[in-house]
Amino acid sequence: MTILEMTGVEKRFPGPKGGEPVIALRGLSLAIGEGEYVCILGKSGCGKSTLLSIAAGLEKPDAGRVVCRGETVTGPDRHRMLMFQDAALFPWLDVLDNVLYGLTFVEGLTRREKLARAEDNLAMVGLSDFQRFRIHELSGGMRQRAALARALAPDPDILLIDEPFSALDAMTREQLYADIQRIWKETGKTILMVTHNVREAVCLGERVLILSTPGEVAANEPVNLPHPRSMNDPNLTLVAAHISTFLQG
Amino acid sequence: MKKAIPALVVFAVFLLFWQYAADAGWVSPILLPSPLAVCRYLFDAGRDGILFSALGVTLGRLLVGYILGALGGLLLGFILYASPLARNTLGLAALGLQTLPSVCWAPMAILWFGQTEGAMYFVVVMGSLWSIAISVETAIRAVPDIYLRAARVMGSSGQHVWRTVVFPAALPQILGGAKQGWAFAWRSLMAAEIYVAIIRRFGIGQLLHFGRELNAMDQVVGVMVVIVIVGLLVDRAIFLPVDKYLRRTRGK
Repeated sequence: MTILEMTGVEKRFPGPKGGEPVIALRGLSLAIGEGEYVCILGKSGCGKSTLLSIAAGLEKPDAGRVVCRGETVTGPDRHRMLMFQDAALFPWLDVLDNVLYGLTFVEGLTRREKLARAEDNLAMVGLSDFQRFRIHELSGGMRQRAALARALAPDPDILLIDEPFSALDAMTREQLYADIQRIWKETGKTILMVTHNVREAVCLGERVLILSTPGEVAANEPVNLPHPRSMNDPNLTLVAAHISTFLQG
Repeated sequence: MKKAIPALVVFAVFLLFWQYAADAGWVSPILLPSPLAVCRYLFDAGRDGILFSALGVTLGRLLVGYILGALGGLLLGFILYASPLARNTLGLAALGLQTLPSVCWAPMAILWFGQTEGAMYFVVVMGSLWSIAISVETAIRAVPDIYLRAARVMGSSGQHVWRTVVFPAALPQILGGAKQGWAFAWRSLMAAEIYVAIIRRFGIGQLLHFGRELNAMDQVVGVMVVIVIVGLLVDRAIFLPVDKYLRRTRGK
């Protein structure tokens, strides 16, 4: 079943003073099935982040439409959670309260059930011992874990992830690649992730959509390697090399 | 506490030197009283209750005036943020009035309110309101957009965003503005008390003023010491702990 469908989505931004408008997305179409892990790969400036903002409902497309579970997207709501490049955790709350914030608008849960759910999600990302830590006391990797827990806790239909690992060091990143694959398997969540890192896309995605500049889907490459995958798998390097040719061309 | 020791030594040496200079007759006691004379004045004024009743009156005025100024500043700050029209008109006025020394409001206060408490409050409010409003507006504008986007994705909107994101995110800067506003309020009140005479209820500003009229330099210097100590105490007892709390929880 298709969870998220974007058809003919266009987005332009006003250009620098008096200049031509900048085209971020040009008639982009894609469909993400339930439980899929799809990575969108593109150079910087190809409209990747705009695509996620529109999918989340934070921005409106100039043309085209976005449908989530059969309903047209008109604005943001907690069924499509967006994870930001820098974790965007609230520094005035501790880790647990940040996760609880994500549960504020989930109906039908008592205070106690929300607490239990927040704790479960923090346990899943390995932050059980850090519930009462303040945000500035966490490392970059831990922040992204906390942000992941916050995004997962409301049990969204789809998780939209915007280059979450780009600011992290290589070792932290590899640990998070393993963790996110495990969490994806455990929760069965649908994930749409944007990245400019070819190997990262190949390591995580079941398929890789390659975005041209300006934003159109130029290719749809399945990655037929079993999960969990490791960045150091030579087969992965071969697929990555193959996909790189699309980006250069 | 380690930091207190050099401070104590330096002040002690300074006071001893001052006392010595007074005893040796280097300066006339009419122009500059000795530290002991100042202490004697403070002790006497404390014992017969004048100092404390004046301090009570002053702090009461400060509290009322500052709360009014802070609430008004908060409200005006929100308006400046929300309305471009207000920003281009009132905002400009606020920027200008912020630079107006608060004693300049005293003549108007007397003409409008007479020699009443209202005149005191008016000067304090006018002294603190504008700078607080400008800080509040800047603080709200400086809230990173990403927090608002994150909140909206999680389903928050309208006043919930304001209450749970904009306000807490802007709080450190708003408190910075409140602290600056307090300094302005304190100065304004001293100006008002020296300028506006209320016979039945006098504050420490008036005590200072009477000291001048009586040529009682021990009183003048003594009251100045009290004013400095009040300023220091408020900073240490109220603003420093708040600052420390914010730094501990947010790491900045």
